[in-house]
Formats: sequence, C-alpha cells, structure tokens
Amino acid sequence: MITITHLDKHFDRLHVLKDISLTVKTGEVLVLCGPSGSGKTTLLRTINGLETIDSGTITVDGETVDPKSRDIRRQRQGIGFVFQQFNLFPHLSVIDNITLAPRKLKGLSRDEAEAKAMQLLDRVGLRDKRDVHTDTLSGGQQQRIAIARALAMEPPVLLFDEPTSALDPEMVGEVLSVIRELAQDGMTMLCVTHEMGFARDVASRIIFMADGRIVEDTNPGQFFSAPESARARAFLQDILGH
Amino acid sequence: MTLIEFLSGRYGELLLKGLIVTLQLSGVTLAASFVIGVALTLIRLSPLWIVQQAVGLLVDAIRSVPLLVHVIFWYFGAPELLPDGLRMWLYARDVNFICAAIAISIYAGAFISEDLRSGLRSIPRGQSEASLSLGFSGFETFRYIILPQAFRISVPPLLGQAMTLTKNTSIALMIGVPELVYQARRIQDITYEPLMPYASATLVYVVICAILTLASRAYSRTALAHRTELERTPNTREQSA
Repeated sequence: MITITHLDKHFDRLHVLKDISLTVKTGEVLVLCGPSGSGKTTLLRTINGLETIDSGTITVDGETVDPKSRDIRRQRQGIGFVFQQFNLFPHLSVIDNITLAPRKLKGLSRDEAEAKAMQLLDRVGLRDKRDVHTDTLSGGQQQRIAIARALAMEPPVLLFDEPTSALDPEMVGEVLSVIRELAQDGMTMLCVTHEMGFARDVASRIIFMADGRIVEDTNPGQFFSAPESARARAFLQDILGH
Repeated sequence: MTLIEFLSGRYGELLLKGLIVTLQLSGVTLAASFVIGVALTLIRLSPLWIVQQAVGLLVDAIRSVPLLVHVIFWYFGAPELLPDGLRMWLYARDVNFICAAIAISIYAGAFISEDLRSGLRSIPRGQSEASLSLGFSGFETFRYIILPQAFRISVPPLLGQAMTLTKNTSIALMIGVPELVYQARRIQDITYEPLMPYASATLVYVVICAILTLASRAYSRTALAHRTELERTPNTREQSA
C-alpha cells in the first residue's frame, strides 16, 4: 500500500532522513517512535507531500507521491492526516469542518455530506457538538473532530502526527480509544506517538527511529521485551523507566 | 446665538451641503481604497520575488508621503501628464472632487493593504497544511480557509481605517472641494466667528467616528469573542494626514 525506498531529506545542512526504506501493507498499524529529532514526524509528512524529499521514492497505492505534481491533490484525498495541534478551522462550525472537503472536493450535497458527518460524529462520540464553534471544545474533543474530518474523505490510509502530545493527560484516553477502534476496523495507519501502552496494544509493527534512520522494524512483543539495539533499550528505559 | 439657531438658518444649509460632499467623498474613497487595498494584497501574494518587492516598495512609498502632497500631486501634477483629450474630459467634470478621491483612495488603499496583509500573516501555517492535507489546492485553501479568517481578523482595523479616511477627506478643502470643513471656513469668513461653524463640523466628525468605533467594538465582542486576545488585535497602522 505504501512503499518508501532510499528516501533522503535535508533541512538545509541538517540531514533529517537517511536512506529510509519502508513498506506498509493494507490493514497494518505502524507506530513510529524514537527520541525527538529522530525524523519520525518529517517521515510521516513526506508521505502526503507536506514535505519535499531530496532523493528516493514514495509510492502510495502504486502511484508516486510528488508534492510538485498536480496529482498530489487527488492523492492527498486518499491519505488522511491528523495533526498534533488539531488544526481545526476556527471560522467553521464542527459540522462544516467535517463536510467542507467532501462537499467541495467530492461534490457531495450538503445533506449527503452532513448525514455522513453525523455518522462520524457518532463514531467519535460527539454527536451533540455538531453546531458549536470548534474553540469552545476541549483539546480531546477537538482532536476527535479532527479525526472525523480526516475520515470524511474516506481515505484508505490515516497518518497521525503525535495526536495526543498537545493534550492534557486526562484527555489522552478518549483520543486513543477512537484510534484503537479504527485499528480494530482494519484501517491502515501510521502513528507517531510516545504512548507506549497504546503502541503495545494496537501496533502491528513498531518502527523505531534515531538520527534520521530506521533502527528497528519489528513487532511490539519483540520491541518491548527484547529490543535489539542499544538506542532502543535506552529510549525505552527513558520513557518507561520512571 | 445658540447652536440650534445657528444650524437652522442659512449656515446650517451650507454645513449640510458640506456634510453631503464629505459623505460622498468618504463613500467613494472607502469603496475605491478597499478595492485598491485588496488588489495590492493579492498582487503581493505573487510567488515572484520581484513582484512582491516592487509592490512592497510602492506601498511603503505611498504611505510615507503626506496625504496633502498626494492631493496636490493628483490635482496639479497628474492632469498635466494626461493626453489633451483626457484632460479636457476631466476638466469638464468635477475635477477637484475626482482628483481628491483618487489621491485619498490610493493613500488609504496602501494602508488597507497592510492591514489585510497582517491579517493574512496572522493565520497559522497549520491551517493551510490541514487544508492541503484534505486535498484542497493552494487556491482553494486560500479561498475557503485563509481568506475568511484573515478578513474577520482585519475587520476592526479596517473600520479604524474607515474612520481615519473620513477625517482625512477634510484635506480636500485644499484643492477647493466644498466639503464640511471647507464650508465651516467659508462661514467663518462671512461671520468672522469661528466657534459655531467649527464646533458644528467637529460634532459631525465625532458622531461619525463614534458610530464606527461602536461598530468595531460590537464586532469584536460578537464575531471575535471566541478568539484569543492576541489574535483579536493585529497591529493597526494609523494613516495620518
């Protein structure tokens, strides 16, 4: 479903991604983890063309992703993205946040789009918020709306960039449980997160990155019980040790 | 003589004529300067570096020249540069009013474009990224996501510009446009009494500005009530004569 080969990227002189190769099959749930600055967010952002790449290739569903090509707009419709900072549209109500893209890009009528949006609001447990302004919502609620907004385009793949990092601790659970349900429904997902309990439960693979490289690509059982690299052991100790 | 007596007589009539000219000039320049401001802002969004710089320089140049100089240029200078036919056409009309309107519109347009630009720049990058990630094009992102937010943020400073512009129309008296202050001065020349005519004119400006201030406050309270304090007050640049 997603194939990345020999991907390299620099931010000016900083070499952020070094020779990354990765394949994701339909229905897999990949958790990307690693110390900050390891390139996990940048890698995620290259997949839907929010970041350009220097060399290598990315294909999604057999099609090359190139941020400069005209196809990128259509391709992005098939790759949902959930941001750390939610990035809901503050000038629109909750329902309009969810229906804007299906209406404008897929040509759905307002009624069709809203009917579907209400199903999504049910799914994230926020049916009663349909007409409110987004910034009256809590962080956890905003992120659940952001997930609903991404799902409204019915993308075969969802990318999550630290979806719970900007949340107060008591709201992390409600967002993770939404993502967990998506995983159970067989959604293909890549998720950058520091929530290791969530990773252990949900991930089909753990991708551990450090210094712009993929250091480990393994199953959660292996990763949490017997990580191969010293970097991963140190990381797990830091994050779980206290 | 009380203010009421003063205004109910022939002088009141003169001032009313002046007020009508002031309102006409304000209305015309407000519309024209908004169009100019939007146009300058849009041109400035061009991906071409040279175009951005050229428009930026033009805007700065317009803003740094006093309005009186603009008015004098458009009244005395610019018509001389026109071909004869066009100049004749212009002089057959209300040339004072037209030249004043052009000068003030261009001047205010430059300030308005700065307000709009700072509104645009205050929209966080995450907004356009969210929109692009859904599959919107750059233009659609601008149209559906960036512009509506930038416009909302720009409304209070734009109302401020409307207020300043209304007051600035008084400078048109320098080239003989019979607006409010022109009429006040004329009455003073007749009566040798400055208090009544100028007090009346002042009162009119105060009322106009009070209305615009109230509108701006009401807007901030309702439309922007849910925004943070920081976003509510983008830096306003006051135009001055």
